[in-house]
Amino acid sequence: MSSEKIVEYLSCEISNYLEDIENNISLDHDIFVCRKDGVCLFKELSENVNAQTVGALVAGMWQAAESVNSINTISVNEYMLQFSTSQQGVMVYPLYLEDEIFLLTTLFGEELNPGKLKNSCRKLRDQLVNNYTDYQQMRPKEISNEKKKQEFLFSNISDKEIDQLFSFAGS
Amino acid sequence: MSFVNYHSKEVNCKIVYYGPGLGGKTTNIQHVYKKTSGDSKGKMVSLNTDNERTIFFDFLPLDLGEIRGFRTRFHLYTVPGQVFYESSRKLILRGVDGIVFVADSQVERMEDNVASLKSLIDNLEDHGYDVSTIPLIMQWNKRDLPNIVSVEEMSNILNKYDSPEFSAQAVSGEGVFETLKMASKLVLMNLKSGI
Repeated sequence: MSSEKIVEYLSCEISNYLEDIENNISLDHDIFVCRKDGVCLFKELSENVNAQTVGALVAGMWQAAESVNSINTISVNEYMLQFSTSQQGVMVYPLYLEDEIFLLTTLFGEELNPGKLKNSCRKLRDQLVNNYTDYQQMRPKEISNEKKKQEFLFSNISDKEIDQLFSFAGS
Repeated sequence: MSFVNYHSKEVNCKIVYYGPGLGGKTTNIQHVYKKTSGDSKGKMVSLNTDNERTIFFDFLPLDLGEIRGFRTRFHLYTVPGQVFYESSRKLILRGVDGIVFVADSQVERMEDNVASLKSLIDNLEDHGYDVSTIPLIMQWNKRDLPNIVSVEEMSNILNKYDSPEFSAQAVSGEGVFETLKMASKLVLMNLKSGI
């Protein structure tokens, strides 16, 4: 499934999940999903939190931890990454959709029950994985575009176009 | 790996600055950060030691506007240059769309340049990249210092893939944007359509 469809799926599912107050993830907490390279796919972040910065840091943190732990053979899907006190911090859960891993992250502060929050995040992750198959079946089948993928998006970009792109920046 | 969102008409690309320690990688993106207007840049993140040696990476997101209807975002990373951070360098190269190799032009640093370039090629191959086709730009930095190798010799020793090359003096900004513009152009032209 294309990245766009995954973005659409995540937006729909996570929004539905957060609307259900039974799920106990306060909207005061920041929720973020990114690819393993840090590119943001879903965000519910406070104004002072930059999605690109968070994505780069979370991706780097996850990959570094994975590398340090590479001697273990347990599936990465069983892991989660946590850096926190008893009230605030960050939790990262791996989310496997098709063959690709995504990182479901929550940034929390002033949390009275981080154990409950952890459980809610785990439930969200499991729901996203479990509902994905149904979602795929409901979507119209995508026509294979293997041949199209070999074509370039841009051709013959001129120096003038690049200069225009960088006109926002000083030189 | 680049991310193209056709619905929102957005392109995200990753460029990594690679090279030996203290060669000018961080200086390059610090200059880019300093000269980019507020709306076009995000917060620059530097994970470094107390004496400002990069320990994991520097990161600078650039939102540069539109090209042919697509909003273009570049994610600039630098790697730590010190020898024992090899594992970190390999991690940061994952998903790269283009590389700027920042070489130190001083005579006494040539051995480090060669070792760093070999490390880059080995890591790219380990990640499954075709080194001859991935956008790679060479920067001969520190051209202002005495006792430097000629541009011709830098090219003969280091430019194995006939890559575009630029002289630079990153500390003053000379050559920094010229290098980045070429990297951006090659990365954009290397994007697959997938529609």
